[in-house]
Amino acid sequence: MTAPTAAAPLLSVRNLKTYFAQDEGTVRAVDGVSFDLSPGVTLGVVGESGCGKSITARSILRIVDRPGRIVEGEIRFRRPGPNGSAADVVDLAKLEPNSAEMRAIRGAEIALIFQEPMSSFSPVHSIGNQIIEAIRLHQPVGRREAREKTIEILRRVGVSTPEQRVDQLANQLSGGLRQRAMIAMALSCQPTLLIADEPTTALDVTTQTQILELLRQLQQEDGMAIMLITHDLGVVAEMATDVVVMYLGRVVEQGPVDAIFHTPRHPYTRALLRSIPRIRARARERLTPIAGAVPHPYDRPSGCPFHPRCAEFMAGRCDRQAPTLRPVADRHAVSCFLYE
Amino acid sequence: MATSNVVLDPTSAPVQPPHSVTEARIFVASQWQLMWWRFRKHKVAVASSLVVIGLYMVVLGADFLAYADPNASEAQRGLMPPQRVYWFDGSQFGPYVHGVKGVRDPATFKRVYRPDPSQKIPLRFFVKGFQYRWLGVIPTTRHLIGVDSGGDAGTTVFLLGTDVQGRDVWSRLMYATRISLTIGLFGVTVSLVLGVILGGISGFYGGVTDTVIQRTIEILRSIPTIPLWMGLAAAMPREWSIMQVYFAITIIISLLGWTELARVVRGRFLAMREEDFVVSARLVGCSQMRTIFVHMVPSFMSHIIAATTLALPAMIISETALSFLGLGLRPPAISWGVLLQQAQNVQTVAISPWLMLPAVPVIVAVMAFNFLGDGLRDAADPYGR
Amino acid sequence: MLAYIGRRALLAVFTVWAISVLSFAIIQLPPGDYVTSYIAQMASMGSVVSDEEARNLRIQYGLGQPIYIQYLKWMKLMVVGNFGMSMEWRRPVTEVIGDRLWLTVVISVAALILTWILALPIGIYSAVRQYSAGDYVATFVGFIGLAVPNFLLALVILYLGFVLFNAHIGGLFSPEFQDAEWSAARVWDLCKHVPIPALILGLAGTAQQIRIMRANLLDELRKPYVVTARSKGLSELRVILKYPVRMALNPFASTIGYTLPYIVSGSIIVSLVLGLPTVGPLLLKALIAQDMFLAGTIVLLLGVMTVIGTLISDILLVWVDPRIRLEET
Repeated sequence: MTAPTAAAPLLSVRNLKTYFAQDEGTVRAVDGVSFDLSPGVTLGVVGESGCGKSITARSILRIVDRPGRIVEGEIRFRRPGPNGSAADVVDLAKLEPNSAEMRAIRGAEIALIFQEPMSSFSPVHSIGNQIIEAIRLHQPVGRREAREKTIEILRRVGVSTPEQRVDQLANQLSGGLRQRAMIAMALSCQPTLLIADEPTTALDVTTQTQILELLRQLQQEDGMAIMLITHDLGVVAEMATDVVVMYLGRVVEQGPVDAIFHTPRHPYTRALLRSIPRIRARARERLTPIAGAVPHPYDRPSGCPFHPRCAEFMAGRCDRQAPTLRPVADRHAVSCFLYE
Repeated sequence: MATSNVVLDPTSAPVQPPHSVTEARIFVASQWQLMWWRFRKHKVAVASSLVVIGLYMVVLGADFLAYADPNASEAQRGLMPPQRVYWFDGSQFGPYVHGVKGVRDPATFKRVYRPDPSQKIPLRFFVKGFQYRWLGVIPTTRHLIGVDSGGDAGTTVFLLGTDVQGRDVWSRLMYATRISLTIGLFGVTVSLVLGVILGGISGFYGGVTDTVIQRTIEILRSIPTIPLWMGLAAAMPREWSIMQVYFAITIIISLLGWTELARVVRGRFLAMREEDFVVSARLVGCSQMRTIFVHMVPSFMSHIIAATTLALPAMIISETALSFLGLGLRPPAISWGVLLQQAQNVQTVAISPWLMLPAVPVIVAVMAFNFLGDGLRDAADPYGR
Repeated sequence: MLAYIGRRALLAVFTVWAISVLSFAIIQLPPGDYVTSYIAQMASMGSVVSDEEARNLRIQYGLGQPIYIQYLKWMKLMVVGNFGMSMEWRRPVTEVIGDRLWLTVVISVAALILTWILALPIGIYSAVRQYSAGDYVATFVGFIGLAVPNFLLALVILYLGFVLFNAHIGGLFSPEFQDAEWSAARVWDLCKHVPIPALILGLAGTAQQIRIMRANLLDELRKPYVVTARSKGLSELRVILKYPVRMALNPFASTIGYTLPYIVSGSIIVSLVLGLPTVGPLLLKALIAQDMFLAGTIVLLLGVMTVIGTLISDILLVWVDPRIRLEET
């Protein structure tokens, strides 16, 4: 894998904050997240359930459900200018979610694939219908041409007999085929950025490998960037170029995948890596979970969100202020008082 | 692999996130407690339950709340408008009404009533009036409100006016409430029994029995009910006493109304049959009876209660409709429908709009039962969303 | 799909049979048999029924024979269109009913269509804009429809119309068209008068359907396929209409079948209050006068009409939900 170039980033998220105002309090689902994503790069976004990974993805696409809103931050997205001219950077956070401009980007330039393909397809419309819809929404093609494109893209993602599959319902396909169909739908308009929200979590291991292989292949062919959201460190190790580790809506560490796996700095990252069962471990060796549990959303700890569970907690500092993301090595940044 | 200077002690107990007190209570609460808590949050439902309780208080105390004999008719006092109550006599609290003078309008020859300010009739509370037996047992003459002089035509009070035959509307309304609300109860009980038995059999045994009962229910639901009721009600012999008519009407209405409850029961049974806790009960060795009554029934009791509460307003409306048409209860029986029968004619109503007042308790009762039933249904699934 | 329709049609036949039995019971229940009352009626008019005639009538109606034979005879007569004689009107029942049955159909169908037209958009709006001012207004109006029995609503509207606007709202025709022959002008007059009775009849059903649609749609809006649709870049309106609404329509469509009997039922009483020339007032008069053949026939025809309507709605349901179609193949 070639080292990522210093090209201008495709997506630049700066201090994104998405809050949910509920009766019982405000949930700060995304609380100041920043990262960059360059073309052709795979960014792995890792964290436990509830850390805000999915909401980040949805904030980028501006499909966060009410009462969630982006209260602060920028999402700078580089769009190809018309007719190949100089690119245009637009701040997605400033666009109206239902505006024509946002909708032109959504689905065509940034696509999203989901964890559970069964419930993510409409049960009463055929696969083909839903893919054709995506195509005709963003490209000026007729129905026949759209149908042919659909069959082509289904073939490309490895769906057998696509001419028949195109008219089938989601429940008539196996799990792996469904996920391929979902990928086909996402790629139908050749997006520059693909956000994959736990794409393999609901699949068995063999299918998982196939899907990941497919994603990698498509990325090489099309040169698109992938934002891969997962809680599975193995998937990250295999697929990602860069990694962002999130906890309770914040980025705690980010950097190249090698750095994160070989020289993790943040106590949370270290604990995560330590908790992975190792194949070379001695028999009957105890697993090392992370102490404690993720706090209740309305009950955020003061200061650094990880401090109640941190093995290197420094009283008086970590519970008073929140650390900020600072670089510790080349392109490797950590948000921890240990490094300030 | 990464080195760390800290050794995490694998034997230390994981730190439990602190549960709030509320969460802790929820873990150990019984099904009924949970249901009550959820119900309490639904303020409209709670308010409705108070209204319903109030209505049934009226049922119990109808005689007490009425002040005139509901059947005492006096043609001279026909179609009197409601009297205005003045609450303060000068500056003291002392409710009174004006006396009423009947004067024959020389132009139309109709009797017209005008308040006579010279007469001040004080209203008293806990007054002695006509005799009745409270709860059918205790003879007494006490009423909530009334007028000191017992029943002299020119000095009685008519809070809501009188009807065509000079009977006091308020008192009749009290008695009507009693009949209309209890007929609903009997009807719902019959529907409940039929619905639970047939729905239970249908859901529990499945198969052919289920299909037959299901189809029967569908057939019954497809039949327009009112023409059928009208026909059956009209076919009842005229010689029957009021009580017989009362019960016959109840049975007629319930015979078509049990279908809704049966569907709820059947749905619950079907859903529960596959539940793991039922299967494990059977595996542990519980007999069928025990499985049904000890394990399954408590799970859907709350749904049954909700469905029953929702079935009541339908009963009330049915009886009111039938009596309104003259096919249900007939005078001298008094129910909301019987009272409303006098309001059938637009002409009459235009002149004496107070005759439409019995519509108000109907609407209030229906709304209260509906909200209450809704609240119960929402609360019935305490482990749901 | 055909098998499904076939099953529903078979059920419809059974329902019609059940209704016919009940209608027959209604006819038979009052004491005395038809012919004796007929003779008495004729006598009161001054005409005499000969013994011969009486005997023939008895044979024709099977009186004196076991009840199921009477029932069969009645069915046989009905199939050829002989619904018996109305005693009160002294004319064949079919003549007496005349147009009224069709008018009942007209306002019932109008009420049903109105229910749909109102309930669907309002239900969708209520679900999508939950807790908004529009939602509360819709819920409130819905509750009025649910809580106020339709005949009381009719009464109140009549009263208000009379008192506030000095207008007579009742009736389906203006006085000049009342007994006129059918013409385009008469049809137009009818159309002008239908909305208010249709609204009164349909309001309770509308309230019910709004609640159902709202609840169904709220459930569906939370589902993942809606997010997928949105993530493709569809406009919000198309997202909602093409996907969750389509799903929420299924249980919604299946409820039409049971709205129709309710509406037809309600039309009886509402017609009475509003003085509409439909089957309702006729039925009541017939029942009070114990004119049983007229009453029984009306009940039967109403039932049959309802069953046919329900069957049509079942067919519509199949068209809306392709999954039922697929299950059959």
